[in-house]
Amino acid sequence: MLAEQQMWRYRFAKTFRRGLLYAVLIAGALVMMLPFVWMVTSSIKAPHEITLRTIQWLPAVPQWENYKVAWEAAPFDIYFKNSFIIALTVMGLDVVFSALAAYAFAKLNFFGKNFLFLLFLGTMMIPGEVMLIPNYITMVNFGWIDTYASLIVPWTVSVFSIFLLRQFFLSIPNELFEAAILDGCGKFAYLIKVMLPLSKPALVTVMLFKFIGSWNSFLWVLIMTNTPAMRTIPVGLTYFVSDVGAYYNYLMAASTFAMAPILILFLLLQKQFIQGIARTGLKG
Amino acid sequence: MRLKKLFLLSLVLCLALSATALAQTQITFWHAMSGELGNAIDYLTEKFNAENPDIVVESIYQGRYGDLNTKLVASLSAGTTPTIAQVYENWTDAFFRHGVIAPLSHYMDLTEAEFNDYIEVFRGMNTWDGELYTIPYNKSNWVMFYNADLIPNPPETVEEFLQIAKEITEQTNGETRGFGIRPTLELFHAFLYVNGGDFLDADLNVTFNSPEGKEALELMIGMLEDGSALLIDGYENESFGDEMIAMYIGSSAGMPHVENSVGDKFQFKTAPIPRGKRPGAPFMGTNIALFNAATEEQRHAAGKFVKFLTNTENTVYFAIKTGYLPVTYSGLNSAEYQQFLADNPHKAAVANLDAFGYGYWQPTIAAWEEARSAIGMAVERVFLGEPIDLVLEEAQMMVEEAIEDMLSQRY
Repeated sequence: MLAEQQMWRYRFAKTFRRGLLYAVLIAGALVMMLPFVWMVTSSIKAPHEITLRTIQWLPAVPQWENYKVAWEAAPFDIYFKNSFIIALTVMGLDVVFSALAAYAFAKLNFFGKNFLFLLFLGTMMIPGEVMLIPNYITMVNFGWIDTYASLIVPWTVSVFSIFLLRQFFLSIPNELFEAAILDGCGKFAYLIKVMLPLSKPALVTVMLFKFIGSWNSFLWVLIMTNTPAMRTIPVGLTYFVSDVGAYYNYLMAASTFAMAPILILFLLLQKQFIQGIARTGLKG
Repeated sequence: MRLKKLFLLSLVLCLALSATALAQTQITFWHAMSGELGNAIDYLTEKFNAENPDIVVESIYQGRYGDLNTKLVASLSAGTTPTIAQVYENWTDAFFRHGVIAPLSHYMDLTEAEFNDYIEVFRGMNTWDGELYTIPYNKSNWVMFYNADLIPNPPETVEEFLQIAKEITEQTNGETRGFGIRPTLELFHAFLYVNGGDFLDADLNVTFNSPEGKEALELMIGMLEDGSALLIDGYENESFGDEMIAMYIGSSAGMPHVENSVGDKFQFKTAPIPRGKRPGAPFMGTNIALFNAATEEQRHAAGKFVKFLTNTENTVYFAIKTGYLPVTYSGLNSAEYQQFLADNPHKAAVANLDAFGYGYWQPTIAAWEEARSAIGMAVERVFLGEPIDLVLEEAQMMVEEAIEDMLSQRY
C-alpha cells in the first residue's frame, strides 16, 4: 500500500517536472518562433496591414503576388546561384583548413605553437570594418574585384572555426592518439579516421556558422563587386529599404525565400548534430 | 587565291569594326537608387546608350547612401573610382578638399540659359569655389503630410499648427494625436529655421545653441507634454497611415511609402511647413560628382550623360517616376509635370514654387558627417529628458571640435 502510494507520488513528481520543463520549452519556442511567424504572415499582407497599431496576424486577403514582385525586384535567380556557390565553397574549404590547423594546435608539438595560437586569437579582436579598406586595396592589387575569388578566398580561413575545433579536439583523450600511433596509424590518418568522426558535432557547428555567415554577408560582397552578376542575396534585400521608408511586405517575402535554404540546411544538419553527439559517447 | 583575298579583306573589315567598337568611351555611374528609383535610372541609361553609340554608360547600384560612401572612400584609396557618382554635399566638400573631384559643369557645354535653368537653390547646394562643381540630381524637399479627412485646411503658421494639433488630439480623445515627432536632426532643423535660427552661420560659427534653438526644442517637447504630439520610432508614414498621428513633417521622397501605408483609409495631402518668424523649406537629396581619375574623353562623355539625365524631358520623367523634384525650372514648369501635379493633388506642396524662394539646406562641409551625428544625438537626449541647455552646450563643443579638426589638420 505504502509502496503504491510512493510510486504514485514518484510518478506525479516526474510528470509534473516534465510538464514544467515542457511548458518552459514551449514558451521559449514560441518566443523564438514569433518573429518568424510575423515574417511569413507579413509576406502575404497588403502594405497597410503590416503597421497597424493592434497587430493583425493574418491578412484579410493573402497577397501571394508579393512573392512574385519581390522575386522580380532584383535578379534573385543570379543572387541565389552566387550565394550557394560562395557559401558552400567557403563552408567546405573552411572546415578543411580549420580542422587541419586545429589538429596541429591541439595535438601536435612544434616550435612556437602557443605563441602562434595567441597571435591567431589576437586577430579576432580587430573589428572587420577596420580591415575593410586595406583588404579592398589588396583585392584590387590581386585583380580579384568582381570575381568569386575575392568573395571566397579571404573567408576560407577563420580563427573562430580553428578555435572552436581546437577546443573540441583537446577534449578527445590523448590515450586514443597513443594507442593509434602504437597500432601503426600515421598522424594524418589518425585525424581522418579517428578525430574527425569523433568531432562531428563540432564540425557541423563550424559548418553551420560558416554557411550562415557567408550567406548573410553584405558589406564585403557589395564592396568587392561591381556587377549584379557577382552579387548575393543580402544585396538584393536592400532593394526594399530606403532612407524614407521600407516595403515591408516585399522585404518579408524576400526574407522568407532568402532564409529558406538556411532553415533546410539546419534541419538536415540537426539530425547529424544529434547523431554526432550520441556517437562520440561524450554524454558520459 | 581569290578566296584568300576575300578572307583577308573580311578580316580587315572585322578588325576595323572592332576598332570603332573599342573607340567607345566607357564611363561608370555609381548610385544608391534601388527599386523603382533604380529602374528609372536603368531606363534612362539604356536610352542614353542607344542614342550615343560612341559612349557606354554603366550605371551600378552600390547599396544605400552609407554603403555608397564607404565604397567611394575605399575606391579613392585604391584608385578605382567610378567616373561619376551620386554624392551628398558634405561628401563633395571632403572630396573637394582632397582634390579628387573635377568641376562637372565644365564638361557639359552649358549655355547661360541652360546654367540658369538649374533651380537656384540647387545651384547653391552644388557650388564650390564659385563653380557648379556637382550637378543636382535627385532632390527632395520636406513638407507637411496631413490627414485631409481630419484637417480640411492645413496650418499656415506655427501658431495655427499648434492649435490644430491640440484640437485633433482633443477631438479624437487621444486616439489620433495631432502631430508625430521622430526626434531627428531634420525635424529640429525645420523648427529651428522657421524660428529664425540655423545650425551654423556663414563663417561656420555654431548658432543652434541659442534662444532660437532652445525654443524649437521646447516647442516640440511641449507638444509631447500636452498630448498634441506622439513620439514615434521608425518611419513616420507608418504611424500616419495607421491614423495614430494626423500630421508629420517628412521628405517628399517618401511619397510612395505614404501612399502605401495610407491605402484608401483616408485622404491625405501635403502642405508647406508652417512658417514662424520666417518661412522655410528644407531641400535635400544628392548630386552627381565627377572624379579626377577620369580621362578627358570620359569627362566629356560624363558631362554629356549628366546633361542628358537633367534635361527637361528626363528630369521630369525621373520626378514623376520617383517623387523627387525636377531639378530645372523648365522641368518644373513643363506641361507634363504640371499635368502630373494636377492629377495628383496630394503632391501639390512637393513642387510648391514659393518654397524655392526660401529654401535652405544642411551645412555642406566635410565635418558635417561628424557634426550631424553630434546634433542628432543631442536631439535624442533632449527627448530622453535631459536638460536642453546642457545638451546644446555639449553639442556645440563637439561640432566646434569637428569643424576645427576639418579646418586645421585633416586636409
